[in-house]
Order: sequence, then structure tokens, then C-alpha cells
Amino acid sequence: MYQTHRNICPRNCYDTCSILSTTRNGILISVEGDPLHEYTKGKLCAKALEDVKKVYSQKRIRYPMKQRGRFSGYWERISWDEALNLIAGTILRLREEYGNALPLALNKYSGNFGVLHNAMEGLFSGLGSTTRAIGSPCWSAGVDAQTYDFGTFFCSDPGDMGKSQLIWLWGVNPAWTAVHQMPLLLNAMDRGVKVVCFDTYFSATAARSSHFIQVRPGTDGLLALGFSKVIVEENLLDPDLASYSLGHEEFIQYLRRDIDLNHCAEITGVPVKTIRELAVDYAKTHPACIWAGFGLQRYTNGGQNLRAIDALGALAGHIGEPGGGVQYGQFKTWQFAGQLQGLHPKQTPESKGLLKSVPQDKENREDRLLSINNFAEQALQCSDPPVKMLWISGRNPLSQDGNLHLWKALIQKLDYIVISDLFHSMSSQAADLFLPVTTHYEHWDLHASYWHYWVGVNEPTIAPVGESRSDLQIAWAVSHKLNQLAPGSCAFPTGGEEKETLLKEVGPDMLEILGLETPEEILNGPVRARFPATAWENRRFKTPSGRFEFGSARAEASGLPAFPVYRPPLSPSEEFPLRLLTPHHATTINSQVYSSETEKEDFIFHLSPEVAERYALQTGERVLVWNKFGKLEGIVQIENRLPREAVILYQEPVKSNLPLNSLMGTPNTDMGNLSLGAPGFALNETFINLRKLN
Amino acid sequence: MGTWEWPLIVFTVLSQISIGIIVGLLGLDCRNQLKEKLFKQGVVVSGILLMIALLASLFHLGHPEAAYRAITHLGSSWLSREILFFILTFVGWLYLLWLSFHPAGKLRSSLLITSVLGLLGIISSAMIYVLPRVPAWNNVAPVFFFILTAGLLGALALVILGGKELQPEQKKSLLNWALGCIIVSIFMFVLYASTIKVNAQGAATVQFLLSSPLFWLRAGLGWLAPLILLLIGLKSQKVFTASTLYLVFALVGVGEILGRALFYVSAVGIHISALF
Amino acid sequence: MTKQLGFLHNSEKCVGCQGCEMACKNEYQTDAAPRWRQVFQLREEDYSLPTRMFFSMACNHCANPECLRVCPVKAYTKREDGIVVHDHDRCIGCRLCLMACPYDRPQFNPAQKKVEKCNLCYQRIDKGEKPACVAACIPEALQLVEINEALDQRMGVLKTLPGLPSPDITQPAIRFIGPKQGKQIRRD
Ligand code: SF4
Ligand code: SF4
Ligand code: SF4
Repeated sequence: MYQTHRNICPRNCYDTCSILSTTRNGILISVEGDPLHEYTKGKLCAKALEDVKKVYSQKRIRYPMKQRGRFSGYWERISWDEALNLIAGTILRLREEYGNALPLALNKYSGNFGVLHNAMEGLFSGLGSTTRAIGSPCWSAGVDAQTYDFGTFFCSDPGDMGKSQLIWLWGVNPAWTAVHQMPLLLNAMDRGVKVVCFDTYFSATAARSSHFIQVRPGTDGLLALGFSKVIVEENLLDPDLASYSLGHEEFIQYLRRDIDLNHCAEITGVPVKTIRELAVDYAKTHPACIWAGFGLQRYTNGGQNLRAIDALGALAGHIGEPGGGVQYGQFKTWQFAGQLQGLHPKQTPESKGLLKSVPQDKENREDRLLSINNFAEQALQCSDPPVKMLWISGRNPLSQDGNLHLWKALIQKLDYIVISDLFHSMSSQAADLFLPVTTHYEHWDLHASYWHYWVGVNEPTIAPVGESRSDLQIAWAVSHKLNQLAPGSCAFPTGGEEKETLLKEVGPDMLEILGLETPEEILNGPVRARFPATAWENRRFKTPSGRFEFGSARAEASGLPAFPVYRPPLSPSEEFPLRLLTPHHATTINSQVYSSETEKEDFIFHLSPEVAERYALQTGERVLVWNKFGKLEGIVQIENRLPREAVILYQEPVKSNLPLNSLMGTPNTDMGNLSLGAPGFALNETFINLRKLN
Repeated sequence: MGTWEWPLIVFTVLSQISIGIIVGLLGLDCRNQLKEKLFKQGVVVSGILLMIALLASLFHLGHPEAAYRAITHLGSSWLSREILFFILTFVGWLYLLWLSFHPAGKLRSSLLITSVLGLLGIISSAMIYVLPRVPAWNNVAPVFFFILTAGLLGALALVILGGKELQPEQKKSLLNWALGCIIVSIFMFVLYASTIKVNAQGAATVQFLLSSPLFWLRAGLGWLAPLILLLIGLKSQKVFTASTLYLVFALVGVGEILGRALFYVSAVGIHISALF
Repeated sequence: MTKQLGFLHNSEKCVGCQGCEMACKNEYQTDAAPRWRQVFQLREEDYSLPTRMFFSMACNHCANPECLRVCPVKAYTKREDGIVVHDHDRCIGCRLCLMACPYDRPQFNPAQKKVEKCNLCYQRIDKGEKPACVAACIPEALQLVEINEALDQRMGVLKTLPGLPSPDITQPAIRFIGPKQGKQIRRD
């Protein structure tokens, strides 16, 4: 008996593909793309195509487990009832001891971006005021930059790029991280459209572009200012600028006064001649689009970098132009009702916690908010009351955070650590209790993308593997247990139907966006939000002035420069002279590994021939890489077209007890507070030294 | 680079000795009528070796229980042909065995037929490795190497088996034959190495062999030492002591086994050269 | 000549995502080790400029299949449409085909002690569908084609790529569109 179901890949990924899964007699046997989805067009990436193996993997944890001694690896299977008793007992004890729920902390992020996974937030809200991780390790600075410039964070439909006559890919590697955009780019090139790829290293996308421009890490903003300067000098400004922007004269003055092309060329590494040619081309070609990636804003000047690029787009008149714009991402299709998290119905979409992931319903609660990027550090500082219990969900902080020694210290201080996950991870090693969760083939869920406009429902295809449960079921069960032990102790519902809960999340806002009459209609298949394909089409912006803000009073009020000006990134020191860049690899999403068979034996440090020569290294030699945070051993691989002052270490699966983040501190990006409540993780500002090992 | 194919090493070397013995018996019989005892001994030992060899070959298969199917592609597969010939050789051997207990006329023609079948089996064995994909093998060398192994070890085995039963001149001609095989082997190897060197994979094979201590061990033990022992012995006209004969046989045996192992290990196929 | 189905791979469009490889695994749920299809990266030394170019190869359903010739159990057959089908049930795991194929496409499954390989999704082809790998390739770099004169006359269609064994050995039913180089500007 064959059956098919609709699913959606729930990872933190541009593409958020719609999936059709096939079962035979209740066993998942294959997955394929859903042709109804016009962006992913019935095709899946290599990672999703491994899902069947993942669902039934031997390594998957199928039962609740408790660890006898953290890091001991001595796990024993327990019943759900015992697990729930342990959790509820700890919660009640801590709340009693401290008189409030602040010792209870939740650290959750993007392991599964499904809306029903917000049940975890809902559960914690139901406990009272708790401690929460807020912000994002990913894109905060850029989100704020676009919020300052445009008023909110929005991008065109990715298909809009198909109208472009010139495409600039700036610090984005879709060949590896957003592969469904590649056909559009390749077809554009076939039509003679020039695709220029700016990156710090020769990426797989760069290899397929018409031009590759190598930019010194962290200087993208200056390069954008250099282009803007040329546009001003050549008088190629958008003549309508005055009608929809604010502060352009001042910005132009700044360019004239402070930006020197020779200096710009020297710092960015792009020759003056190239800067001129590209700038003129960009200003004269209409429509021309820039797609800015996340990497360029993971610097201490990351927000400024993106603001400078936005400004460049505006000066040349590409903002609001069909096939133009500066595309970064969007969250407008995420206007779910938020009932699950316990949101106040009057809250605006932006403050609904969709971005901040923590709803603030001030009347009842005052959660203690810790930055997700400095979580361990800030949690250690909490004394009144201290953080005592930590629930990690959809995250692997012991692999993905910086300053891991602070995590070790925090673990020492915690009474109880619960982790819910599919597999053991670096973080589960520290946990006392492991709760097995379902995959997206085993529960209902609702998903939107931060890139395309499609929203859809994920149906359960198979029964949960082992005794795994969805986050929602876990949250209900915990609440049920709490109320059983101490009636009234948790305001979160104690049970329900997943499907009904899901339909409730499709509230009036969402129905309008999707053009649906009833929530049930979404069950028929993925739906594209009814936004016009071009962002800011009418050039009416959401900023306080309603204009594109070259000069932002809000930025100034937050202690940032009002205008996009050049702020240098951190520079290497003598002790640690090399920058470490850690781009995503095609086979992983952060620490979520897909092709287990390609697990590397060793870390591979990719060096340019220049760096290799400086350290007298050959391909295949072993090196020690270290800085004040930690050290890693690995193998050298020399490649052309890598930066001359950096080492590249892809986020690939490696057989190692140490994560690559052993080398990371927690430098913060300049922006992020405005929309996400905390600055981002400037992880490209990591510096190292290396030496040959014999 | 290939791998250590133990089942194949055992199978090819033993089957070649076995057939070498039969061919040797035929040779001796052509000169002087064979003594009954020698004939019986030769046939029995040859048969035991052949059976061990065939058994060993099964271990190479992922599914030995289905080995019978391997005879179904005579049209183009040398492996099918090899198996067919070895089965026929085995049938011939059964008849020889019957003859050794019921002496009757047709001895020589039966030896001749079994020898021919056996030699066809050896040639088929060798032809399996004549693959365009493996330049080091894609020539006549495998055929020569396999037949030389049969001639060399077959003759030496017969000398030892024959013992007192052999007339001095029979013994001498067998030893001369072995000596000849060694000289031809060395000559063939030099020729082989210089011809296959012309392409990258062949050169890699030669390079591998010449830099492998095992190869030099093989050349020293299996070629040079027996060559010297045989030359001295044959020249001095003295009778070889049994222990010298055993020594020569052991040296040559080790040499051939190593040689065969290296044959498999040193094979370099044409590959896709790309990353991943 | 009779019909010969095969693959056309465009290195210019291929992004090396391994989607084709995984689609094959998804379709047949093969064990981890055997890779019926495999994505290779061309070596930089084979081109004048550094590349990140890939090609994807499964069984090439050769016109002159060495695997078929050497197989002692007739596990291999060549269909009317040129597909070289390996019958897993007949295979006895002698691994001769592994030695004979220049592309290492028959793959040994150590758990089953048998060989397996790409059968060009003939069950799908017979239903009029595309092979799973071809259907999955997002940039449409991998295509199912009929190998014939007309194809070989087409501009830019190559019979081999640097680093590949000579097509003379088995006459593989695969054609390539080779990588072009972008204009590269590096910092100096
Ligand atoms: S799926 Fe297509 S693009 Fe991806 S590796 Fe295979 S052939 Fe290349
Ligand atoms: S590629 Fe190899 S396995 Fe496929 S037909 Fe050709 S020789 Fe046979
Ligand atoms: S044609 Fe079918 S069997 Fe062959 S590689 Fe593609 S998906 Fe696999």
C-alpha cells in the first residue's frame, strides 16, 4: 500500500522545500520535491534526499534517556512518565526554592523552524517569567541594517531576479546554500545577463559566475561606498532620489569628502579600474539586483556593510525596481497567530516575537532575556536568582556557540539540563535528560521561508519512530504532569490536537497574506503569499519618515552612525595574524549533518598559496591552529583564490571530539538589538595562528 | 593498486602445479614408459592439488553456493571458460586415476588429453586478466607467467615425487627443464617490465615492483638462488641430495607465490583521476 | 546502429551539489557504501585556471561494456535501448566486473557480497519517466539523451573530459559539456 504525504523541510535554509513523501505499508520509502511549489519546483537538495536514512538511522534516539553523570556517556532508557516526573519535579522544586520561575532557562533556535515548535516558548511562558535566549546567531546585523534603511526587513520574490539585466551576488554562495536559485542564475547567464560574484574566496558560485571579485574580508561596506562614490562622480544618480529618500545629500557629501578610491582599492583589494567599471555598469544597467548574503554581516561592522550596500542600491535607483533591489531575506510571511506562544492578540507582527522569538506580554511577565550569542556568559552572571535548569531545544550550543569554556563553567553550575533532539550531539553530552523528538515526517507543522514567499503545512507521514514525540506533545505532557503534581502550576494547555493547534496559527493576518478564506484551505498544498513580486515597489517605506533613509535617526539614537559609513572590521594581531572564515558546506546546515558517509577524518584548513608559503606548508601536512579560545589540529589543503590573510575551514562533518567553534570567542555585530533584541554573532572576526606539526 | 587476493593466489599457483605435474608425466612417458608407482603418485598428488585449488577459488566469490552459475557465459567470459576447462581437466584426471589403479593401454593419450585441457584451463585463467582497463595485464605476459609457473613447479614437484623411481636421465631432463623455465621467466620479466612501461599505469606497476622489497625477495629466492643451485648441481654431474631438491622446490614455491601475490597487488588500472 | 540511451552532463551548470547521487540513493535506498552515481571534482591541474567544476558519473551503459564481457554468470545484459542492466540475483560476487570497468561503476556491496550498479532506472524509463538522478538535478545539468551522430555534432558536446579514461576502451554512452571559465579578478 503506497501513500503520499506533503511535508516541508524545516531547516534553517533559504529554500524551505516542499516535499512529497511516499510510504509503503506505513514505512517511509522515498521523498521527492512537490511540483506544486513554484520555487523549489519539485526538486530537493542532496540533504533532504537523505531524509529516509535519517528518519530510520540507527543513531537516532528513540526513547527518553537519562545520563548517569554528565559527559559519562552512560545513558539509560527511562519511561516518558519518569522523564516527565524528573522535569516537572525539578521545575516545581526550583520555583518553590526561588519563589519565581527565573531559574528556568530555555535556549532554542533553528533546529526545526516549524511554527508548532514554538510550543516550547509557550510552555515556558506558561511557567511564569523565565530566562530566555533571544536574538539570532545568524543574521541579526543585516536584519537591523535593512530595518534602519527600509523600515522593515523584506525582500522581493526570488523569481523577481529573473527580470534582472545584471545580478550581483554579494557574499552569497547559492550553489551550496540556496541551490534552487541556481537555475535562475544560470539561465540568466545563458541569456547574456552578467552575474558578478563578490566573495572573500572562490566559491562554487563564483566559479559559475561571469565575474568573480575577491574582496578582503570585512571590507564589503567600503567597497559599496567606493561604488557609490563612482556613481556620484559620474553623475549616475537616480534622478528621483529626492522624492523617496532621506538624507541623500548628506550621504553624497560624505562620499565626496571621505571616500577615496585609491584607499578603497587598497583596503578592499579590488583595483580602482575594476571599481569604476563595475560601478558604472551597475548604475547604467536597469534593472540590476544585488543579493547580499549573511556572511558579510558576521563582522563587527556587519550592519554597516549591509547599510552601505543598501545605499548603493538606492543611489543607483535600483530599490523598488522590478528585477532590482538589494535582497537579503524577509520575515513577512511569518505572521502566524502566535497563540501557541501565548502572545497578546494586540501585539504587532514585529513585536509578536516572530523575530525576537520571545513574546513580551508585559502585563503578566518580565522574562529575563539573555543574548543567544553570549548565553553562557550572561547566564553565569545571573545571580538573583541564578539559572538552575536549562532546556536546550533545536540547538547544539556546545558545538555552535563561541567561548565554549564559559559553557563548561555554566554546565557546572546548573542543577539540571534537558535536551530534546533527534540525535546525540556535542550538547547532549552535557545533558542529564534526553527527550527524543519526532522528525518532520512524524508530526503536523506549519512552515514559511525567509527567502521565498511560500507557506505550507507539514503532514505526518509515518507514526513516530520509537517513543519520540513532537515538541508540542512534549510541552503538553510537561504541562499535564505539572498540573497533576501541583494543580494550576502551568498555564500552557495540557493536551490537544496538533492539527487543530496548527489551524489556529493560521490567523486573520495569515489568511489575508495568503488570500485564503479559511485556515483549512492551507491543508491542500503550499500557498504563495500574495505580495507583489517586487519589494518596495511603490517606494513607500516603513521607516519613520516613510522614505528610504540614508540617514537614520533611529540608528543614531542607538549609538550607531546615522549614515552608512565605513567602519573597519577587527584587524589581526601579531600573535594571531590570520583570520578564520568558516563558511557553510553543501552537506551541512550548521551542526546538522546530512551525508554521514562523507564525514572527514580530520579538519581541513584551506590556505592560499601565499599563506602556505609564509608558513612553509604543503598540502597534506598537519598543522596546529590555535588562539586564546582553543586549538585544533588538522590537515592543510592549498587552494588558489583563497584570501591571503585568512584560513578557511568549512562547516563539514569531522570525526573529532572538538567542534570547530573551539576557536571562537563571542564578538558581537554592531547591530541586531532593534529587531532581534540582541546583537548578532560576528564569527568572521576570529583570528588564529598556526604552525606545522611533525 | 590491487589487493592481496589470497584465494586467487592459492587457486592459480596450486592449479598450475597440478597441471604441470600431468604435463610432466606426459613428457616423461614420451621418453620412457612411466613406472606405475610414479604415475600413481603423480596423479594422486596432482588431483589433491587441483581439488584444493578449486576449493580455494570458491573463497574468492561473494556467493560460493552459486558458483555453478559461473559456467554460463562461455560466449565471452574467460572465467566461464576457465571453469569449464578445469572441470574437464578434473574429469580427465578422474579417468587417469582410474587408469592408475587399472593399468591399461590408453595411458599416453589420456595424459595428452588431460594436459591439453589443463593447459587450456591455465590459458583461460590468464586471459581473465587480459583487460584493456589494466595495461600491465593487457598483453601476453599473464599467459606466459601462468604457464611458466606450471612448467617450473610441475617439473620440480615431479622430481621430488619421483625420487628413486626416476632414472637419472629423467631426473636430469626435468631439472634442465626447470632451469630453462627460470631463465625464461627472468627474461620474460625484463621484457614485460620494459614493454608495459610505456603508459602511465604500466609505469606505476613497474615502479611499484622495483621499489618493493617483496619483489626483490621474490627475485632472489625464487629465481636467483634456485638458478645457482641448479647450475652448480647440473654442472658438477653429482646426484642432487634429497634435501637440496626440497630446498630448490621450497625456494621456487615461495618465489612463485610471492610473484603471484605481486601480480595482483601491482596491477594498476586506468581510473578516473578527479577529486572525491 | 541501434538505439543507445545515455547521459549528457553539463559541467557549466552542475554545481556539484550531489543531488543526483542522493536522489539515486533515495530511489533505491542503497546502503551507504555503494555509490551508483558519484560526483567528481575536476582537478585544478587539468585546467589553466583554478576551477570548482564537477562532473557526475554513474554507469555509462557502454556500447562495448567490459563488465558484460567478463561476467561469468551473464548477470549483465544490454537492452535494445542500450541500457546495461545488472541482474543482482544472478551476481555471485566474483568482482571481475570491478576489475574490468574503467570507471569503477559496478560497486561491491560488502554486506551483501554482491555487486550493484546503476541500471539507468529502466523501470522508470519503461514508464516514460526520467531517471531519478536526472529528475532531481536542480540546475538541469544532468540529462538523459540518445547518443547519436546528431548529438556528437552539437557545438560544445565532448566525448570525454580531462582525467577520464579513454572512451576507446568501452565506448561509454556519456557526453559532456565542458566547463567555461568566468572572468576572474583577484586582488593584487
Ligand atoms: S544534481 Fe546536478 S548539479 Fe547537482 S551534482 Fe548532480 S549533476 Fe551536478
Ligand atoms: S561503465 Fe562500466 S559498468 Fe557501466 S557499462 Fe561501462 S563497463 Fe559496464
Ligand atoms: S539512472 Fe537511476 S540508477 Fe542510474 S544513477 Fe541515476 S538514479 Fe541511479
